Amino acid sequence: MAKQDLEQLIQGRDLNELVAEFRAKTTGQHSPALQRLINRIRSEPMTGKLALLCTKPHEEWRLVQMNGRGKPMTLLGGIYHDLNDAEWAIFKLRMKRHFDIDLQD
Amino acid sequence: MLKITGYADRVSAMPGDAIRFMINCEYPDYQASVVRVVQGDTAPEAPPVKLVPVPAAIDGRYPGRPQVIHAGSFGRVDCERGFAGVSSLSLQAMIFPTTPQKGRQAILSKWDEAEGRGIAMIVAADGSLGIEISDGATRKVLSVGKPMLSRHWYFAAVSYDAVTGALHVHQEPQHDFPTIDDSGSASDTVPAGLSWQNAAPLLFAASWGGEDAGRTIGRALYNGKIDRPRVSGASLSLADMQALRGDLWSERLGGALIGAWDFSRDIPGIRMDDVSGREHHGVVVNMPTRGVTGHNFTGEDGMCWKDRPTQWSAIHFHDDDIYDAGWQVDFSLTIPEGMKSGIYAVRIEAEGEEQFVTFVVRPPRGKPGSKLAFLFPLATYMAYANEHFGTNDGLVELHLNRALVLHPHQQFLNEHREYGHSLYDLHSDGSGVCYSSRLRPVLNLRPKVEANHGAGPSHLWLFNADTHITSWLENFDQDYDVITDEDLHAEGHGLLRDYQTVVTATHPEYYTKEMYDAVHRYTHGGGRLIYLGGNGFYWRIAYHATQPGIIEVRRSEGGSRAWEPPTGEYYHSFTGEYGGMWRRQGNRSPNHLVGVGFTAQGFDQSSPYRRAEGAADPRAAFILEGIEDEILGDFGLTGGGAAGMELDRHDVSVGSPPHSLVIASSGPHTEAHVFVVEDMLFNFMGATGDVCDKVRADLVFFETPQGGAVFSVGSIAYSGALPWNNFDNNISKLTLNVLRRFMDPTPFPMPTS
Repeated sequence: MAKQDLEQLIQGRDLNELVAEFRAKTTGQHSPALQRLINRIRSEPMTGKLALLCTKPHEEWRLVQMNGRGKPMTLLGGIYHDLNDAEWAIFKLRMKRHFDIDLQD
Repeated sequence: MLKITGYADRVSAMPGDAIRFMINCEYPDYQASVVRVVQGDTAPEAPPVKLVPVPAAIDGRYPGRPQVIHAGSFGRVDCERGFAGVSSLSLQAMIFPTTPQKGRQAILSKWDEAEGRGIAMIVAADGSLGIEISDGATRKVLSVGKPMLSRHWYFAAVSYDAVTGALHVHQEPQHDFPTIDDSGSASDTVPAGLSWQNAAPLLFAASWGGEDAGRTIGRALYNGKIDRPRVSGASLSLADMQALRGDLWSERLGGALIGAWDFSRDIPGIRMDDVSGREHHGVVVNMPTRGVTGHNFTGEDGMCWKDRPTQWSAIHFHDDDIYDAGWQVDFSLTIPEGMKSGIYAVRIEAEGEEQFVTFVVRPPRGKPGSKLAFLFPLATYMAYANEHFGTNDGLVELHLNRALVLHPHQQFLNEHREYGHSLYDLHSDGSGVCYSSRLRPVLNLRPKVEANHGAGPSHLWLFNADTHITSWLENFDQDYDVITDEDLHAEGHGLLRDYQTVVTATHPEYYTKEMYDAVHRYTHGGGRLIYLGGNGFYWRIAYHATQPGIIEVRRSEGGSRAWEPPTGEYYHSFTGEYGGMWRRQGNRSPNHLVGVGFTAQGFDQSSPYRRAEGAADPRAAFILEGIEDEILGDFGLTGGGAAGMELDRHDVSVGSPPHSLVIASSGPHTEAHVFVVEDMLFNFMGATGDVCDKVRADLVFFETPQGGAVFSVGSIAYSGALPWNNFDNNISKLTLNVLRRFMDPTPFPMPTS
């Protein structure tokens, strides 16, 4: 996805502010620019989609990549003990995947 | 990956009834026990899980054994006598392949896979029509070589002449398209007198893979429709086979027929009637979709298969249809006399893995054990059985507005498609799933299970979320019976009549006419109904008249739909009733029944209610007695609020009784909560919960005739607020106020105008 698409999504907002907004609150109502951005990067098809597999109820989630209907998912490296941390990890990977932007914790 | 799964032959049983349990266990042995399910939420924010052990005759260790499911629908005709002495053969049908590129698929076959012997009309590996013939040593596949288009009708005919060894294949599209070359024939020869004869039954949409514990195994499963199949014990010319395409034929051609099947007969049943006069009738296996349009459907002679059955003389077969898994019985539980009505489960444990098979003990017929009934929405649980929301369509993440979290049962179901689908899924060929059976493991009908759609912290949906209600009832020492809506369908109003109050679950969405009418009659005969959910009484469904444990939905023409039926397939095959939303069906909107109806959905975060105008009405004083708060339910286990997930709106124009009171309304909601499409003729902006007033849950009360009343909360998330703060909160208190008054037999006076 090209840089100009990102500009269109965030419409002049400071990307760092939007990233901080997501890091602070991953779920629920977001600012319009952040919502546009995450709607775009969450529109991945099932094949290749980043998701989470719950490995201990309410305690542990593993990062996975979906490989399409009926196909086994691929376990990736991340293991998380807080869903917000897992959301943040997916967000960072997608910003890299879609916009080639490296985000730091 | 799960190594234990199981199901029961019935979900509802009364004392004296036996329930048979079928268990697949890959461990050497397992422990079985019975628990009464009170609270199944494992979230640390929830009250402790409460599964009460109940000593039972089935308690003990059992040897584990793997049991598998043979999915895929087909038709079976046992007609060995018809094939006696037959060596030349012609096979033909109108076909509508939906996955022509899938690989070898048998359309009509008398083929034994184990012996590699037989004769079959197939979709060949190249996607075109073919004939396959083998005597077990010499095997020949002849195909037209021009791939068929998906979802287009073709005349398909093949023949073998045992005298000359000639093979002919003919593929003729019903519609010609420029640039598409899909019409043609092919001929070849194999040895004359090839001994293809075998003991396999004649199958439609599959080849015979043998028998396994009483179940026929279909192989080379075909996806698509078959219309007017004919089998002749002679090598017919193309002209003769063309002459057999219709419903009338000459005596000469009739004399050679082994069978000619008319799928427009017994659409509600499982028979496939042979109309050749040979009486080679068959049955369908694994419930392919019936009541589907045939190659001659016009759309001008009515839209229901009952109007002109000859235009619905097709069956749509799917390689992932499943009706009855047909497993061997591992143990049987006879419900003892005096066993308390409630929700129970058999718990299977082995090597640290745990599985549950849920069932209901209902009171003996006509002998309620309580004045309160919890109406267990088995039909809706079946509609969602083994849903694949998290593994089929990538857009689900936008629906949730949060990361997709999968759970072990969903990982298993994604890779084990033979466990069948929910009414929200698409078949492997992209067509909507119309039927759902409970005669298979239903891995999301159990305590401790999480789901995609319920928001945090609990992440529950349907059954397990409904245990928030049962745990709330028990926290306040309120006794209750549990009855299922499947029993309500069968027994009608009589099942409810003796209860002072009936409480629903969080999402009683799927209703038959019989179920709807029974609840309506109950509320209009002095009964009291507490509707503790959202998006209830929404879809019309049908039960099969002869096959137990299977429901059908046709999502016709409107509504928030997971799929859309093709034109002409809007009527239930089981009953001939028009499918779709109840609000399209004559004064039976959910608003008519419970005062509110589906208005919005979103699955990220819930919101509170705020008192509305009706809260000040003296008729509602009992509801808010002892509650001073303006804001109600700004907490909860499902999204942090009492109003969320799926929301219902009070609207007199859609059927809400004019005298009904809106006690409280929710909002604002998140942008993820979006106004429903059925209220949005043109799509428009401003339809999300942050800006749209119609994205709200209305908490509604109204009196009904004979001193009855209805209280509705219009929100799926509501139940998640009940246990908050150890059941001490304003939603719990408000609901308890309603329950106490509803259990008081003093009639509700009807307000005067």
